[in-house]
Amino acid sequence: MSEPKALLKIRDINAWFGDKHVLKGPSLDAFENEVLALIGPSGCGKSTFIRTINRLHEEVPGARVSGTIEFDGENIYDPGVDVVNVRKKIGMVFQKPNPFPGMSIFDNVSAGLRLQGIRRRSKLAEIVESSLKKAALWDEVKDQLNKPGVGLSGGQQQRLCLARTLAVDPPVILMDEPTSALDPISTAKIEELIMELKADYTVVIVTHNMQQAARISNKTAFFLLGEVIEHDKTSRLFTNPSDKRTEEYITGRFG
Amino acid sequence: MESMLQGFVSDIKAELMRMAGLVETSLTKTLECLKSPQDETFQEIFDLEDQVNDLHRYCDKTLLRLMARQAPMASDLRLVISLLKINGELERMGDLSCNIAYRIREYFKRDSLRVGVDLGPLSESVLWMVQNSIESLRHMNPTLAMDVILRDDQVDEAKDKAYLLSVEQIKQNPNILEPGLDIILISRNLERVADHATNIAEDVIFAKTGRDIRHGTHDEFK
Repeated sequence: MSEPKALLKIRDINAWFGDKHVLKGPSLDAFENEVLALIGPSGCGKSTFIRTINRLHEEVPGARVSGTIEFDGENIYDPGVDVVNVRKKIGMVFQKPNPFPGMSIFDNVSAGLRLQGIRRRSKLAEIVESSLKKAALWDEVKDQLNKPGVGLSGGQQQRLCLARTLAVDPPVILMDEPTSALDPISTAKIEELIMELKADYTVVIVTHNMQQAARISNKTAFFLLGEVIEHDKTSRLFTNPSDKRTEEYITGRFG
Repeated sequence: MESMLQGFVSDIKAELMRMAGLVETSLTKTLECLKSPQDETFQEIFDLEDQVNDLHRYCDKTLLRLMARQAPMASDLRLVISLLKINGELERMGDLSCNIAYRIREYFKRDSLRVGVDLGPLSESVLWMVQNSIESLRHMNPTLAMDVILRDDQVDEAKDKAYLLSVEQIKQNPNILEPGLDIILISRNLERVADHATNIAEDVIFAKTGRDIRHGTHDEFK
């Protein structure tokens, strides 16, 4: 078996909101076909960290980033790198489902493709169908593709957002607490999808739900005060962590 | 800071320690009967078994609920898993203590037919292992737990010696076949009690350190 390849090499990331130094140099690798979970107490920097991976952090007024993120051999922070291109390859699903309002289910999924210049209806239809199938939503919406995306239930909307992300086929999918607004059944569906997605993608997920991290991820990184305290195989981190602070956090002694 | 989960675990551990105390009492009384068999003592041992079984069921049920409701992690998870296993070990020890008591009673019913095997050193080692495995659990002390594990070889040797001596005497005098078999069964069951004490010690080490040292893999840990 060949060695797994580090698709993302994240080094010495520092991030600020104005004067507030929120990330203090964490470094991590994310490998192909891996689900990497980021855990830690509120305000530890894990959401900021994930937003540096597709250059979303810098969109906040007054926000700054330093450090390097090598994706497939290229530093996405190099001058001249096309940010749109970065986000095409590193997709993101957010905490709250956010289908484009006023757009049909079909248009929601195909929006990114149309931005890429794909216009042929048959091609779009083919990708919309395969993306909805990958997001386990096809059977539920195949007869109502022209209805508004916002008319779906919360769980369906989140799978629609996942289908929208999958449509442009990014090798990396970032997820920022994707199930925190969902009921347990919708959560279970998203978790099953994440487990299936790792056959083709690298998934980096922020979650407050430690059981979720334990269920779905291969590796887990524990963040505290803007630093990575421990990054290890999930099975090890949740049974026998090396750092006392990780132990205290996951056993509920603080945080 | 103690979490809600740790509060629940402390409560269950207290019940488990109560159960451990009953098992230790049962074994102590059983070994007393080896020297001085008394009907009322046998009855006390059999009564203790009922109490141990009640606590076994209670601890199992409570630990199951705790796992479902609290989803423990890391050292909490290791402790809960270990307590669940220790609960089973203690129940088996209580059961074996009863079996030994029953066999001792049978042995002494066989009038003057006796076997010249001294079970004193074996009994002493087994009782020491049981008491100290319980102490290692009470204080979650891996060093004491390791001492318990290392004592197991002495028990095995004493049991083998008792077996060989019994067989030799039975060969010389077939009339003592039945009491000879009693002694073999008693020593065998004592050795099994020690095995359960070893298991408890291994569980304590796992809960405390995360190291799995079962099946003779403790050399590195020492």
